[in-house]
Amino acid sequence: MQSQKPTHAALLVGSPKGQNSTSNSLGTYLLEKLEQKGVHSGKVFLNQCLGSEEKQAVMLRLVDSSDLIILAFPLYVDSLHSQVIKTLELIAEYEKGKLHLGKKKFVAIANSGFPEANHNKIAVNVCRIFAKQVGYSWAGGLAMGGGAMISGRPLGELGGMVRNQKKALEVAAEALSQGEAIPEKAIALISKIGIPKWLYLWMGNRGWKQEAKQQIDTKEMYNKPFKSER
Amino acid sequence: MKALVLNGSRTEKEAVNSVSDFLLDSLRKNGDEVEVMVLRNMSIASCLGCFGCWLKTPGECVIHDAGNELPGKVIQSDFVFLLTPISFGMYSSELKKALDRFPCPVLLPFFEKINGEIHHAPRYNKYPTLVAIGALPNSDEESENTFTTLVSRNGINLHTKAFSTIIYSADTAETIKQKVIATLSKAGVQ
Repeated sequence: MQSQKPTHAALLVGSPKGQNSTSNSLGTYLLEKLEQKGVHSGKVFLNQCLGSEEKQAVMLRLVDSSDLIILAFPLYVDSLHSQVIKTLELIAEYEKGKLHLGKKKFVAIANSGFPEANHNKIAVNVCRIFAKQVGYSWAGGLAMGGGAMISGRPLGELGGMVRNQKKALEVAAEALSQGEAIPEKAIALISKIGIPKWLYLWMGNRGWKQEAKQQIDTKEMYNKPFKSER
Repeated sequence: MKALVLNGSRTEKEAVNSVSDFLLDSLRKNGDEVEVMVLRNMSIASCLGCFGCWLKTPGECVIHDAGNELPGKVIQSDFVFLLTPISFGMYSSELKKALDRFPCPVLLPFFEKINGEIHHAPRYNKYPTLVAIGALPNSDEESENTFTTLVSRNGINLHTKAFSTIIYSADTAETIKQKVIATLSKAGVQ
């Protein structure tokens, strides 16, 4: 059976940092590649969508009018941020009783600050279960570690450190635009960070101290404000 | 023993509320000090991802609402109970709103290796045991496996032990009691 090519893609950016997030960088890059292949697109920031019923309706209308839904989000406590779960709960409620027969495709892009992409596994599973429960067709999950290498900057402006992530999103866009699921090659590629793990960790630990130094004495970073009563 | 119960039910009709009643009775009978937070009735903002709890006011959240008290309450408890309907294999948005607000403040931003994998280093010497009780309408292997793995991963990241059990809508009150008792016993609640 020939896969149906998508005509409209919706990007749901699930980071509380909104416009300045790595989720936005990754999702937007994929969206741009899809647009180049003739897929129309729309984007919403979930941190701006949940405050009122009117705002929720804007998000639901975008989902309703799209046949490819891309959820880009950061890892939060081993899974999804509360605003992203709230969104999935709202969509599930909205789609209740509708018969999609898998015509809408759903894609997840997860990122975390840990160097290993594996931390995102549960979050991607949650997205897959969501797609199955609402009747969307699961088109794959892209998961990357080392999110600090992007730090909310547009992917197109970044160099070799994120070459694997760019290539993976390009491969994913090609497949999705043809109505196919994201190839395993793209899933494997996005999980590879472009610098050695030891260097990423060294830069990360140093980076926190440098950032804190602008506001506090770095010794305060180890404060224990709550005394354990146990 | 001190326990904190985070009730993540979305309505008062949900099955986890009956678990909450039974759990409270059991804990209070032991003379334990128990605090219950019914999260849907509380004003808790979503985490902003600002890292203020690492960089501005280390160990404390910068949002001044009920969620701000969570890190202190968690660190001063022996057990934290998570009660939730299971949404797509994970916690409800109500519970997650609270959960997003305390791990960063109680951990350090710095990385350390645990079993070959990178995690955030602990801020405190000891963390409470996590006990999660999730409710599903029916048995669903995929959701159950995801939920169970999630709870155990939370345990690793919070440098503590974590236990979970799942109840179904069709479970009788007696079955639910037995499941809760078995989980409390496994978790070491006396």
